[in-house]
Amino acid sequence: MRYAPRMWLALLGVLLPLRRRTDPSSLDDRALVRAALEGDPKAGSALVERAAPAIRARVLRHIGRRRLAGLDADDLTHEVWCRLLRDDAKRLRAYDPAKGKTFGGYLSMVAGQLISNVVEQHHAVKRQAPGGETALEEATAVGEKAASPERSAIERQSLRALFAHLDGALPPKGRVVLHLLYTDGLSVEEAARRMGATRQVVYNWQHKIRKLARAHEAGGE
Amino acid sequence: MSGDDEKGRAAPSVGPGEAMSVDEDPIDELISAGAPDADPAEREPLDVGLLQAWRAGTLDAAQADAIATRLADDPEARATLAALAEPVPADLSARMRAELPAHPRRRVAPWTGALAAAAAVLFGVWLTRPDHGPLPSYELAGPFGGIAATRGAEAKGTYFLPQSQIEVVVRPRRTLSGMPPKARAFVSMPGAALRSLPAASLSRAASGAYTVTGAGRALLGDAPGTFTISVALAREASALDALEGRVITEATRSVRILSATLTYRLTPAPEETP
Repeated sequence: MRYAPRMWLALLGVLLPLRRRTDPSSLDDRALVRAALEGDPKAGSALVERAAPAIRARVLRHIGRRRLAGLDADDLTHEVWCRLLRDDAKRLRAYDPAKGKTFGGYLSMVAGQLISNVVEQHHAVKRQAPGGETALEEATAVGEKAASPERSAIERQSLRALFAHLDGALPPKGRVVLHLLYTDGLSVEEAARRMGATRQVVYNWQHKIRKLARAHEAGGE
Repeated sequence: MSGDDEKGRAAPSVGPGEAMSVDEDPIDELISAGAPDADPAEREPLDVGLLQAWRAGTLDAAQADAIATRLADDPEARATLAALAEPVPADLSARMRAELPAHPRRRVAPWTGALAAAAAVLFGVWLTRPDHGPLPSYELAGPFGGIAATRGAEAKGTYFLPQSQIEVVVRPRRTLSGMPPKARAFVSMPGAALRSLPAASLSRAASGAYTVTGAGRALLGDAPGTFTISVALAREASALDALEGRVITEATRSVRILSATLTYRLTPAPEETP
């Protein structure tokens, strides 16, 4: 009888395997993948939250606002996700931070390969179909940025010197703002959104950039 | 992204949700006009996870500066940053979540279910086996077979001779529902160690009662004195084995001992007269 408690515990251990439920946000990427694939709904949501931006960013870089094989960016992101989950999610499970990539970087890389697979499959189908369409269907494309106005070579040289001065005078974060606002032509709001910063932060940098530019133009700095 | 080094400057302040007024400045056009053309250089793409971390402000200062430098110099990296900044539509997230397993998968292999069931059955059998559970309550009767000592007409106790047939009985107080416990008979002198009696001297009845019987000489030997005949009851034979040679003063949790003390003489006591 003195062994009974131990036997009970052993039996409970067999019959009721305790499932450790941990806050998904505290899990590392591999543990999160495992928990999500074991059916933990919170882990599943957290995994999608971590993975979706990286995959979708890769898709957007690939097709932008166009459609590929009848799929828009969201459809293609979903398709890539399904392929990541195929074969017991072997591609997801294969992530190993020791190989030097972040989880987002890994997902982006694998997504790139899978998008290529989708493109190839689509090409193959189109080649077989007489009078097939082109691989990339017509896009509801985002308007391209208007080309810069022509300027004289001297003016251009001087302006390039101004930009080079600003690029050299600013710290890295200020340079990002400089390029987002003046190379890429974004609004302050859009630049802030891309940087994950507030508009005020971008405004502050813009203010500093302008000040440096004025000083340079005045021949002061 | 933290804005620690951007604070305290004289830029216009924008409150949360406040519509941004486009603060056009003529210098902006000059700066834009001087911007370099897109850098066509092929580079290893910037790790998207690092860009995410940079946006989230979770990198240390050196890493953050390295990413910022790359962003400033690499239009491709900025384009990726732009793609990352696109919010993921809620319906896409829902579609992706729907592809994940909905129910917890078994952490254990399928055969472990059968194993667990078998273990449960065995455990149940073990729990309900007839010889399991606490020891039943027993009572002692005897010793019988003694000779009454008298002083005149008055009885003065009993004693046993070598040829006396000694009998000590222990019987359950209530009818036993399962297997009776195991028993072993011992003899000892006061304060001395227990010595096993021959197995033949102990018998068990169908009711679970045990009887120690034997001639005085066979049970007690050739030395007269006061003896204690004990019947030890236990579920495990090993617990009974452990009693041999030990001085037992009281019962333990796993062993119950019932004892009868008797006087042993080698010759009949002379009849005493008052």
